[in-house]
Amino acid sequence: MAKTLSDAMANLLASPRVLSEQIHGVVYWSQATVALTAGLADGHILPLFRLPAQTRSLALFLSYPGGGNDGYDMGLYHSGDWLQADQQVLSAAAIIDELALLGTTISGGLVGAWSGSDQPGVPAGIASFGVPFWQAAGLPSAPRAGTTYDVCMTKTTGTSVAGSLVVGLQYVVGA
Amino acid sequence: MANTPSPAIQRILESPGNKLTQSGLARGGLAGVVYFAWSGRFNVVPTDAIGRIYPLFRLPSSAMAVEILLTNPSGAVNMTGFDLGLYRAGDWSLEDQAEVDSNCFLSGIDLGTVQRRSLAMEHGSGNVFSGFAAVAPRPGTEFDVCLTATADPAPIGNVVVAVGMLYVVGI
Repeated sequence: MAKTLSDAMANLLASPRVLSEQIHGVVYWSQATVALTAGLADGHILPLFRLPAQTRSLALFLSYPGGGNDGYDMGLYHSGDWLQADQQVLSAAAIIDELALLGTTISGGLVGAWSGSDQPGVPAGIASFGVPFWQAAGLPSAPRAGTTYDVCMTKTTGTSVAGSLVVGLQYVVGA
Repeated sequence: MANTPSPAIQRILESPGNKLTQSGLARGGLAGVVYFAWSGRFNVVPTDAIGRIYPLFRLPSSAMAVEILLTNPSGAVNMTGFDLGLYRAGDWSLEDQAEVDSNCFLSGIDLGTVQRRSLAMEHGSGNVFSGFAAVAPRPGTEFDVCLTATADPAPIGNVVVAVGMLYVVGI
């Protein structure tokens, strides 16, 4: 019977006793709360957290105030001083392209609103799932060790309402 | 109010000298550091047939699966019948693996649907790699987690899929 190798298994065969970090990484969690205001303009940036360039996103959790119909991208900025607004965008949609917050009322806990259905911990998109940030952002090679990026959401569409947006990201960090 | 301790707590209570260590808790339940394994990206292609095996990753026999994460591009269709289970670790280039239980984790997964499923909740404490046997395998034993097509995949073109598993390692 024919068998199809996954990338991880191909790596394993090439180095049968060396398991790479990417397939046995410790899972980390980052969470941020953002105070949304009503009527945010498209292009408004919501900085969430600062993470290493080697971060590999797994899944997103969301809790969102009901009533809005706003949409966002989630992506990466070069780390900077947000008080000075001196960050440079690396890739505004590197993690999620067009995340729709559908105004679902959520009471307690972290629940993801994703494509019309509430789910906790929705896996990241195929382009960013399990790959390091720098690669998801389209860079040709890894940046210098110690490089960090700011994970931000950028409003792209719809009308926001006032309330607290809670974002959780589950990830591993590996070369 | 009567309280019902979990199996993990029962074991601790029955062995009062035990400390609350990761290994102690892991004897009876899920506890400790959560790890992640993922398949990398692999293709499901229209010529794949029932019985095709997709090796995902190799884990120790003491690993206990917590959740599975599945992602794919939009438009992935006609990939509704896949089982998730275990094969003995072998040399995939020689196809010398033996099936242990091809659907011990999940049956009939739809690879066309982005999803996250709690294996721990769906299978309870029986979802231990050694759970299919009366006696745990020798220390150091590894298994290959694989998908097996149980319905003929018919995607439109080659579809890229990635599967990840959150797990803890017990004893």
